[in-house]
Amino acid sequence: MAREQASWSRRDLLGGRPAASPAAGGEHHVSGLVVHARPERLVAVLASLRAMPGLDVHGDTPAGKIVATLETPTEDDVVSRLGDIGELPGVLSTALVYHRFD
Amino acid sequence: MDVSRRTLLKAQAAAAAAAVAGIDLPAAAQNLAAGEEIALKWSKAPCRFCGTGCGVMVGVKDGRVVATHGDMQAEVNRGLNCVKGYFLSKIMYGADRLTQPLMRVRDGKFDKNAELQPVSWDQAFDEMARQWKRVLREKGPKAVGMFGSGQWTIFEGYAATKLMRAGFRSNNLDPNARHCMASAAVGFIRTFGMDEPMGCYDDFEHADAFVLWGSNMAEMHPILWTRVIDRRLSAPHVRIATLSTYEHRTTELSDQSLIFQPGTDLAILNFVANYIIQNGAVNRDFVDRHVNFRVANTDIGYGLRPEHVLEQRATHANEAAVSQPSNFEAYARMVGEYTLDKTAELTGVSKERLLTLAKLYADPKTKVMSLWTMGFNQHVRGVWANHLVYNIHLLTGKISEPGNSPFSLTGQPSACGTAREVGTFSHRLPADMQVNNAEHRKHAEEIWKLPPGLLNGEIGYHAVQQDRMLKDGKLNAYWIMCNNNLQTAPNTNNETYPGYRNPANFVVCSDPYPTVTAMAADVVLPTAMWVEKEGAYGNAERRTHMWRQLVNAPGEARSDLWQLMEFSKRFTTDEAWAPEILAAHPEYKGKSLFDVLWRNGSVDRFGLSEIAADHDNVESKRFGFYVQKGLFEEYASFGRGHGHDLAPFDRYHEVRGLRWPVVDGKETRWRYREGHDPYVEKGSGWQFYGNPDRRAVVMAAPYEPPAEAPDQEYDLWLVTGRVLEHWHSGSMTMRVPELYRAFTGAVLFMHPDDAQKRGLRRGQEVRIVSRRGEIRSRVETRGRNKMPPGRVFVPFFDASQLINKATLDATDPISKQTDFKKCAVKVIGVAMTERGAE
Repeated sequence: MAREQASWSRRDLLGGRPAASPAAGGEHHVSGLVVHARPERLVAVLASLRAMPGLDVHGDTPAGKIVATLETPTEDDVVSRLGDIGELPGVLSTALVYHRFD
Repeated sequence: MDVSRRTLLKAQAAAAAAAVAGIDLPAAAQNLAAGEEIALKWSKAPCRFCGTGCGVMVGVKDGRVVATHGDMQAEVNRGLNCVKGYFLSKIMYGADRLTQPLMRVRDGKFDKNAELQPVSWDQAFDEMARQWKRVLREKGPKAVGMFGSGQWTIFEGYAATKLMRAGFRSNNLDPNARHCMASAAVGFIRTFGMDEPMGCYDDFEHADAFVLWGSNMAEMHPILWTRVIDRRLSAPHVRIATLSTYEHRTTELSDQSLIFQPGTDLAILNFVANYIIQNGAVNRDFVDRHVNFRVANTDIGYGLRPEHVLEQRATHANEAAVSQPSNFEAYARMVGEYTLDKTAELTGVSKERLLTLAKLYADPKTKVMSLWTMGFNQHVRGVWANHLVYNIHLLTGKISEPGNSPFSLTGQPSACGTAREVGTFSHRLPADMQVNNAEHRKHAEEIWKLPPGLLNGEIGYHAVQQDRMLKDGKLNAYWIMCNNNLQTAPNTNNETYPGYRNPANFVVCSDPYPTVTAMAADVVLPTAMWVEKEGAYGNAERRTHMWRQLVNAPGEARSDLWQLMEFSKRFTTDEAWAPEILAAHPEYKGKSLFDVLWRNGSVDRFGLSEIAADHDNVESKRFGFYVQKGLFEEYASFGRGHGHDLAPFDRYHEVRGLRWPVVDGKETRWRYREGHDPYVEKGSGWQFYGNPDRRAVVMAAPYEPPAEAPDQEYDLWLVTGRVLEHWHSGSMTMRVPELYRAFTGAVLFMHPDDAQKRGLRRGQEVRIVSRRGEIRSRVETRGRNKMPPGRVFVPFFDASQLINKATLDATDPISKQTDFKKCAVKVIGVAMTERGAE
C-alpha cells in the first residue's frame, strides 16, 4: 500500500501522530482487574473501589488481593480508571487481566 | 447490551482475574468461551516492550492482530499484563506506519539535501550498495558502521554480527543496549568471567528482603513488581528498601526509602560493606574458598572527548579498566573510610536508614535480592556500582541460591538474548567471546566456515564514539536499525545530529515508523515488526523464548533480517575482503556475501518443509531455506558445552521459554551453585566457572564525583527516564491512542519550593537549559514523581521535547555507557511576551 504523502516534515512527528480513536458512543467495555492492597488498608481500599462508578468487587483475600471488574463507556476510561486506582492510598499494584468490548 | 450478556461478560472478566490471582470465586463465575473467541486464532509471543519478558497470547482475525492477553502458562507473568502490554495489539497499526522505502532524491538521483521520497527496494539498496562500496574502497572497513538494538530478534542480531564482522570486516557494530546495560554486562564479565545473572525470577518468591538500587520497578517493570508485592503481602516479615535520588511510585510503596545525593550510591555501597566487616558478618569460609580481591584504578575520567579538560586532568583516563590483585585486609582498609558519619553527610541519608539497610545485608538469616536498572547502569561509575553490590553479596555469601540474588534488570526485550548473548557490541563475539582475542576469532571463523584471519581484531566504535566519528567525518556509511538514537543519545544537537547531516556521510535508518532518527536519515527502510516475523528474544533471567510469524507486515515493509540478508547479495567477496585473504583462499573468490555468510552449508541446512504449516515465514520463502532455524542452530553451536547451552530450536516453539544453560533438556535456575547448575562439581558448593580459577572478584573502588554538578548558574540536577505508559522514545506507545492520551507530553517534575523560588506555577511553560542545549516543557509539581529541592526529572519519550539536547555525553569510562541521570540545568519561565512573539 503506497502512501500518498511524498515526504515528512519534523512537524508531522510532534506528538507521534497517533491513530484516530475509534468512533465514540455505543461502546461498552468490561475489564477484569487484580488489585494488590496493603492488608492493613484493605477495608478502606475496598470501600473506595466500591464507590467508583462501574466497578464491582468480586472477591478479596486477607493478604490484600482483590478481584474486580470495571465497566466503562470507552477504552480511554479503562486507562484513566486504572491510574485512579493506582493512586488510592494503600494500593500497591494494579493489573489488567481481561478486557473485551461490544 | 442486554442484561444477561452483560452479566456473562462480567463473570468472564472476574473469573479470568480470579484465576490469575489464585482466588476462588463462587461457582457462578465460570470462564465460558463466548462465540467470538472461536473465530480468533490464538498464538503465544513474548511482549514487545521491556526486558521482563512477559508471555502474551495474541489473537488474530482476518490477518490482523485484534486482541492480546496475558499468557496464563507463562511463568514470568502468569496471565498478568501491564497497561502497555495490554495495548500491544495496537502498536503495529499507527496511522503513519512506513510501508515503502524512502530516499532523499532530486532529479531522479540521490541528493543528501533533498526531501525524502518513496522509492523501490531496488533503488534504495542500489544506492546503499554504491555508497558502501565507495566508502570501503576509499577508507576501508573502519569507515562503515551499524547501530543495532536490544529489540532485534536473536536471528537479526546474529545476522547483523556476521554481516558486519565477517562480511564488511568491521567491528563498528554496537547496540542501543550500550545506553542501557553496558555497565551491567561489563560488571558481570569482570566479576564472574561470564555475562548475565546467576539467579532468576524465582528468587522473588524466596527472598526476605528486596533492595532496589536505582530502579523504579513499580512503573518500569510493573509485572515483576507484582511478584515483589505478592511476596511482601504473603510473608509479613519481608521488607522492601528502595534507593533513589527522588521519590516515585516505588519509594512510596516500599517499607523504607533512601533518597541520596546523585552519585553517592557508591558511598552507601561501601558503607554497607564496611558495616558487614566491622560487625563480623563476613562469611569467611565462602570468601576464603570462592573470592579473589582486586583494587581498581581510580581517577578514571568521564568518557568525554579526549581533549575535554576532565579527561586531560584524570590520572587514569586511558587505563580506566585496569585493576590490580589485592587482599581482604587492603579492601577492609579502603571501605573502612566509609563510616556511618561520613556516609550520612556525603549522601544526605539519615544514619538510622543507612543502618537499617546495612543490617538487612549483614543478617545471615535474611535472604536478600538486590535489584537495579538505569540508576546503576547510566552512571559515570556504573561498572563500579555493579562491582560494589556484588562485593556485598560475595562478602556475605548471599549469592547463587534461591532468594540470595544480586539481580540486574534489563530495559529491552532482548538486551540479554541479542545484544549480549549474540554479542552485537563493538568488542564482542557470540557466547562472551571477544574480537581482540585471536583464539576467539579463530573459533568464530571455523564455525562460520570462513578463511582464517578474515575477522578484524580491532575493537570497533561504541555507541557514543560512533556519533563522534560521524560528526568528525571518520565513519561514513552508517546503518541504524531498530532504535531511535537521535532522540535517545546524549547531547544530540551537538554530537548526534551533526553526524547524520554531515555531507561526508550516508545514513540509513530502518524503522516501522517515521521517528526523528528516520527523518534525519538519507534512506529510510520500512520494517516489519514483532509478530510480523518469526522471532526469538532473551529476557533478563536468561530465558530464551520464540514466536511464529502471525500476520504479514503492511505494504512493502520487511523485517531487519530480510533487509540484512537481501543487502548481502549486492556484494562480492572481492569488493568486501582484503585481496591477500582471497589470494590465500581462492575458493572464496568472486562469491557473493550472501553465499559465504548464509549459503554456507550450515545456515541453509533446514528446508522449507520444516516451517510450521499454519504460519507464514516471509524470510524463509524469500531465501529458500528455513532461515531462522539455520541461523539459530549455527549460533547455538558457539555456546553448547561452554555454559551457554541452548536447547534445540524446535523446543522453543513448544514451551514458554527456557533459561540457559539448558543441559540434558533441563533449564538452569541458579548458576554457579552445586545442586542447581550442572557445570558445578560435586562437593565444591559454588564454582564461578567463568573465571579460570572459578573464583568471583571483590573489586575495591571508591566514591568519585559525577562529571557535572549544579553550580550557581546551572543550579539544578537533571534526571531523565521513563514513565509507566510509554516505552523508551515512544515510537510505539505514542501511536496507541489510549496510551498517548494517558500521558500526552513530557513534563518537568519539580519541587514546589523550587518552582516558587523561580516564580513558576504548575502547568507553566519553561525553558530547561544546559550548557549543551535547551528544550521547552511545562512545570509539574505534583503527580507520580516527587522531587527533592534541587533536582528535576524529565522523561524522554516525547519527540516534541527532546530532552537529550540538554544531557551530557559523559560515559562510564569502562563500559562506555552514558550517564543520563546526572547533569546540570537551569529552569527559566517563558515570559508572555516571548510566547506572543513566536
